[in-house]
Amino acid sequence: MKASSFDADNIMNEVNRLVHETVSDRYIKHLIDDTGSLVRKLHWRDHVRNIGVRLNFNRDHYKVPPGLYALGRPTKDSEVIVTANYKLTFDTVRSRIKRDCWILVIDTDGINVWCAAGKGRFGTAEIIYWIEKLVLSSRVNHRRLILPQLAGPGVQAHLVKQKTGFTVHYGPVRVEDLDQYLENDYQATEKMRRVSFNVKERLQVLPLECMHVAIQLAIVLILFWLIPFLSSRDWLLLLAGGATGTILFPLLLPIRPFKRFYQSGMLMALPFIILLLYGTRLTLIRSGLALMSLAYAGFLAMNFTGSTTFTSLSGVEQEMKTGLPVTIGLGMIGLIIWIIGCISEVVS
Amino acid sequence: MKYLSDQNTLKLDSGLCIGCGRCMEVCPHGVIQQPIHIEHQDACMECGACQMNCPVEAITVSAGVGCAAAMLLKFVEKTPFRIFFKKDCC
Repeated sequence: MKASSFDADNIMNEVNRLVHETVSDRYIKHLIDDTGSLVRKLHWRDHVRNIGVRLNFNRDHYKVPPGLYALGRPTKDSEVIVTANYKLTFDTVRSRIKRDCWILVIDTDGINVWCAAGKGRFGTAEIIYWIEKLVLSSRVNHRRLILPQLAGPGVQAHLVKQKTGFTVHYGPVRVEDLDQYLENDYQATEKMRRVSFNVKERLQVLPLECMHVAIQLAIVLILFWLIPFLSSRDWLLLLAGGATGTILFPLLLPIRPFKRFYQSGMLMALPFIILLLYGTRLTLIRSGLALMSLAYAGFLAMNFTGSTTFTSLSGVEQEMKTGLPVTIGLGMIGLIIWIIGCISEVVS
Repeated sequence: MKYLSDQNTLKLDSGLCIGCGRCMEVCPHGVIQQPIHIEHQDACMECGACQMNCPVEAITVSAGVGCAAAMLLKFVEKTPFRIFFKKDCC
């Protein structure tokens, strides 16, 4: 059993153990209108900050204070929609739901629903805590909670019911289907229940990793400029590996040649490396860089398992058993060849 | 999209199952189908949602997040190399 799984006896101990830090309302101050309701439309400041977060700026601190928010003019009979306190998630929820409802934001430490659920943070105890703290039973007449389906890995719905009287309804995966789900008497279609990972979704997660790689490559480029016998044209070899691992591989994910990510990443980088080496003299420095680039592409592709919606824990363990020694080993061999090449340049 | 097909730990004990259908509801990959049984074993990503929401513990899966970076970090945290790695995940 998972560590975050509880039974009826120990769940309340867990609720009492929860620690909550105070979260500033700086990102939502401008979203509350005169009547205290949430604004649905995204302000330009939200758009700018959301793009920034996608690029890894301020990503760990993009939080919303937990609590019960009114979207539109909800009554005591309106639905209660539970969500995470990550501002990016919060914006999606408030802008996509058409009906008037209550939004119960629980404290997931600024992490999105699925990841927080996987860590147990979007969990049973957290939900029970906020139902009690906010005295939810006095705010609404009914006893229903609508949870995003992807909260499933963290929540034991039967325990929420047992301890608070609130029945958990797992809504659709995507909040844009929520209105239809509710009109449909809490029935989700097959399609609403499935996670996807289409091109658009892959393009949304790829800038984050690109930023890491861009910083790494920029540092190496400066090094190449500073050291006289290194040419920045050879730096393109490393760029090929980095770009393949973070852009090309994620885009071609459904048609990757091998099931294992690292093998596919390396194979995809190979034509570019060969093209860059074509017609040049194959020095030790270049050979070393080519090997490092290949390893880099493989490693980055393997890293992409964390961004996908379908890789399993035991599958990734299996892939890493060979992927890690191969990519690290190849990278080390490349580095040694490169260092020998550099030394011989200096000596001659 | 599917991953390494022979690698997962999902098991359902139909003897314990009461057929409430919660597992089917929370599964993001349609692995479990009506009447409650494992239909697409190889599509399971071991998120653990079915196990968490099974009121009679009829489902077991060694759940976790399939993320190479997270696993690497877990390993590195035990070594002196940890100073080179920043926790920068979801």
